This record gives sequence, structure tokens and C-alpha cells, in this order.
Amino acid sequence: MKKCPDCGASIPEEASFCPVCASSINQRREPEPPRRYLSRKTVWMAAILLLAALIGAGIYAFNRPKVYEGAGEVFYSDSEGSYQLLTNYTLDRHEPMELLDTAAGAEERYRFPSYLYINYADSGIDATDIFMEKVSSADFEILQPEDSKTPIKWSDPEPMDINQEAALISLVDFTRESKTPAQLVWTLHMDNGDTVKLSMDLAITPTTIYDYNSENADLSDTAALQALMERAAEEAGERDTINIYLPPVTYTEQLVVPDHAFNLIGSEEDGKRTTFTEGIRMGVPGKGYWISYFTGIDFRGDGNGIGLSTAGRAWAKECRFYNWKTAVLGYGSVWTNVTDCVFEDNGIGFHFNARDSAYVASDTHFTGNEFTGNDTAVFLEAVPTDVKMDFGQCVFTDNGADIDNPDQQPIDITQAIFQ
Amino acid sequence: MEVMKESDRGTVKLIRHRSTGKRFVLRSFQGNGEVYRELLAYRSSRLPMIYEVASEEDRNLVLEEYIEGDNMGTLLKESLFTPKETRKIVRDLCLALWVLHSMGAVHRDVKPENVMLRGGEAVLIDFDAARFYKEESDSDTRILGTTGFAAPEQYGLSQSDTGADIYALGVLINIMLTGSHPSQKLAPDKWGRIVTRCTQVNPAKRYKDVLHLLGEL
Repeated sequence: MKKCPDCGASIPEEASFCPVCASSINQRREPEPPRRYLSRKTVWMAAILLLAALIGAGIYAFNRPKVYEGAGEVFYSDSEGSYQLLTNYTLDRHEPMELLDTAAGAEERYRFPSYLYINYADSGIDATDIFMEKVSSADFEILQPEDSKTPIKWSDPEPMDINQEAALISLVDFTRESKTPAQLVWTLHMDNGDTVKLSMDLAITPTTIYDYNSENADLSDTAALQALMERAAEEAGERDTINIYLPPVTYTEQLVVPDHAFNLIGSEEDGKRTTFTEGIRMGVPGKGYWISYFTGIDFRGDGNGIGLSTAGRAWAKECRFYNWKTAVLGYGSVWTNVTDCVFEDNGIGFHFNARDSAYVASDTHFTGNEFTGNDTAVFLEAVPTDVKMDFGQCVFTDNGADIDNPDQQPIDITQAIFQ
Repeated sequence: MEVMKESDRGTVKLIRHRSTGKRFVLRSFQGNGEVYRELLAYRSSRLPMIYEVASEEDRNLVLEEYIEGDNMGTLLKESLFTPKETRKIVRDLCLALWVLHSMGAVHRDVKPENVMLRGGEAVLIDFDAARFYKEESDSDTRILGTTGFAAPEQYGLSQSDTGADIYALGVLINIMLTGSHPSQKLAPDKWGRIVTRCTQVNPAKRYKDVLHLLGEL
């Protein structure tokens, strides 16, 4: 307890207000904004001075301006030094990329970042700050065929937290119907009138989409499904999309996903849902980094084993996991997402135990899950990146432990419900 | 003394301290009270003083200063504001938002009903929808603002940040001068340009911060 400085009444230590005399007792700051805004007169004077400076600079620029152009990288020199400007979509600031040859599968939209890195040409050290001081404006645009059904879109270039090493980033969005060849062009207008143009070509190849269902394939039991998946993995190209629409059958043996990404989509009929009683296992992928999606499937265990174990990129959506020792396990070198799933009466609901992921995180969403009656709902033993995992709209009910986070992974639980 | 406002999210009551007779607002709501807690350490004539905050899980009880004055929403039912009045009020609101933004918070519900006019000064109230913004998030899909005043990014296009308040302030300016949303009838001349800049769909094209808007005024 402490004393109110105004009336002397005893009040709780953490109180900010005295209920006896109704006075505020905590110390307060009274912030005043910096006088960054200028009067009209000052603006006019500044404008006149600026105009004079511009005229001077203009005369200089008239004599000097040069255009520097390059694909993937370009070198720029002035009296203060030489710089390497390069573009790519990776986290490697020293890897110029002249061409991005990518694929588009069945997803509605694809996105990648276009990074602009600036290094000292001799040492390769980050020169962003000093170089950007010489830049008066920066533009990013994509030159593409005019008759594209869904033209490639991009965001205004700006520094972003997703990669603080990059001087500027633009996010590029495309679909399988976006027409290429296209060219991504960074244009920097320098204070001295020079122009730097940096380009990267973009080729998008729509992949083949294979759809299997009960009408064109035998999906009656695990052995049939396993045989189909093995055949499909051999026949399909690495980037092709394989969708398997599963009937509301109960699969009573463990399914082992072959070395290819698969989308397994469950169904429901007359109250019966696609169910696996011995779980699904994905080993370490040998090729590709595409995500396998598991949607609308029930996993019903007997208290032992693992419902979905994966060492490849996986994402479970709207699945239900009941009574497993571990419902979902991500292990090895992998990023795994679970969203809008139900985890009930498991030893561990979602167990992340993956280190040294070869890939960056696929997505930060772990939202909309219901965790009920598990010994431990979420166990973040090891998570391969330090991105903040978003557990928004998750509901945790009657679990022994809701989130066990020995790895101290950043998590956002502000929009989760614990009850 | 009386219930001032009641909604699904909570209630706002006017109460009187028994021995001193001082009047206070007692706000009870479900949600995130972190901005109220931070405001315990601030004093600004353009924001109500927050006296005490108690939270249990997502239920919050806030004791705050009662602002004796006229609600802008009520005044707007009678008549519009002159450009001179608008300029003074919006300057006050910029300064109020500057306090929140400099704390790292965003109000997310700037609208006439949340502006009180006390003497010659405007006071921004109701921080129930306010949040600390997180620059690392790639989206914020919660819809808490009031339809028509909420910026596009509050509907999930991108993380709501200080730009969302600038958007809502632009809509507010237009309504003070014309009685209509800018999409229906834009304020004339210079005011129209200010409103247009505030309400750009791309937050990067809006005023960089409230001080830049203040400078324009």
C-alpha cells in the first residue's frame, strides 16, 4: 500500500487514482510536437531558395547527367565512391539476378518481393544509407504484354521490415494468367541528374494441374491412394500441381506422401468425412519447395502416434485432429502452418520441432484453430525462423498447457482467446 | 448518473464522485485496453485524462475525465462548420492524434461522434478501437472502425497504421464542410485537395504523418 500525496489515504501500490479524494496521483508527460510544420511565409522563402538552388543544380546537371543501365546489377561511380546496385528476390545481397523463371500453379495469386540492394563495389558492404542520400526519387515498374488477362501488379517501392537489408522493396503479384515475358525495372533519379536503371526479366510458366477424384481414380482405400500418389509423383513435373479430391472414406493405414507436393482435399457426405486413423507422413523432400496442403480432413487416433508428421512444407486447413499422442509435428528442416483446425484430446496438438530451415517461413498465420482438452495445445520446441507467429482467433479451452514456448519464439496472441 | 452509450462492446457511464462531486466517465468494454493503460502516463488538453484502468482477460474498466462540451456528431445534425472553424478543430485533432501516434498507437475510430468541442478546443475521445501498430505484420483483418470512416487497409488490405487515422480525418474534414462523404460530394478548392490527399487508397500517398497535415492547415 502507498499513501495518496493529496489526502494521505492508503491506496494500492499500483493505483494511479485516489478513490478517496478523486485526484490523479501518477506522473504524466505533456508531449509537445516538434515544430516541423512551417508557416506559409517560411514555405515561400524556402521555395525561393530552393528554386535558386535548383537553377544552380540544373546548370550543373545539364553538363553532367548520365544514364547507367544494367540487367541484374549495375555499377555507379561518383566522386565519393563506386557502388554496386543489384536486384533479386532472395535474402542474398550479393547475388544479382537477370532472370526469374518461375511457375504458377492453381493458387489464386502468387507474390514475390523484388529487392534492391546497394553495396560498395569494392568491399561488398552495405552502402544503402549513404547512397540513398544521393537519390532524389525511386520508381519501380513492370513492362509486360498489353493483352495480359491479369496483368502483373506491384506495390510502390519502399523500405519494408520483411527484409531490412534491402534499400527498397516492391511486392510483385501475379497469377497463372499473367502474360510474360515481362521486365521489372528499378529507376533511380539521382540528385545530380544521373539516372540508374536496373532490370530483371520475369518468365512465368503456368504449370499443369492434375485433378484426381473418385470418378477418374481408385481412391477407395489407403493402398489405392498410395499407389495413385506414387504414380502421379513420377509422372508430374516438379512444379505441377496435383489435387486429389478424397471421398468421405476412412483410410485405415498410414499414408506416406511421395516426393512431390500434393493437395489432399477431404469431403463430407451424410455426416461422414474423409478420415485417416493411422495418420499421414511426409518425409524430407528431395526436390522442390512447394507446399502440400491438407484441407477438410479428419485425423482420428487411438492415443498413440502422430496424426500428420511432416519434414516438408505443409499446411493443414480446416482439418480436425482427435486423440493422437502428437496431432501435427513439423520436424527436420521445414515450415508448417495450421489454420482453422480443431485439435481435441491430444497429447500435443501442434508440435514445431524444426531447425535450420533451408527455406524462409511460408506464412505467419496460425489463426482460427480450436485447441480443446489437449495435454499441451502448442509446443514450440524449435522454430526455424524468428518471424512472429500469429495465433489470432485461436481458442484455447481446458488444455493442460496452452502454449509451451521454450524456444521463446515471437508469437502474437493478442487476438487469441484463452478460456 | 446516466448511461451515455451502450453497445455490444460495452457501456459508457457518467458517474459522480460522492464526496467531491467531481464527474467522471466510467467506460466498460471488451477488447484491448493497452492504449488506455499507456495514456495513464500522458496529459494533453486534446485528449481526455485517463485516471485508472483495470483489466481482467479482455474485459476493461476505464475511469476517465468527463469532457463537458458539445459532441460534434450532434452539432453536425444542425449545421455544418465554416472553413475557419474546421481549420481550428482539425488542427486540435492533429495534435491529439500526434500524441497517440508518437506513443506508437493508432486511434482507428476518428469520426464526429468521437470529437467533443469544449470551449474553443476540440478533444478526441473513445480509444476502444485503438491499438499499438505493429510494423512487421502484413495484414490486420479485424474490422473495428466505423463504416465510411475506416480506411481501406482496416478492411484487410494492409496493416492499419497512422495512415488509417489520416484517412478518417480526411473524411471528417469533408463531412464538417459539406455534410457528405468525399465520394459523394468533395469539399471545394483547397479543402478538396487536402481531403483527397488524406483519403488516397494507398497509405503511402497520404500525408506522411499528422504534422504534415497540420503544416498544410
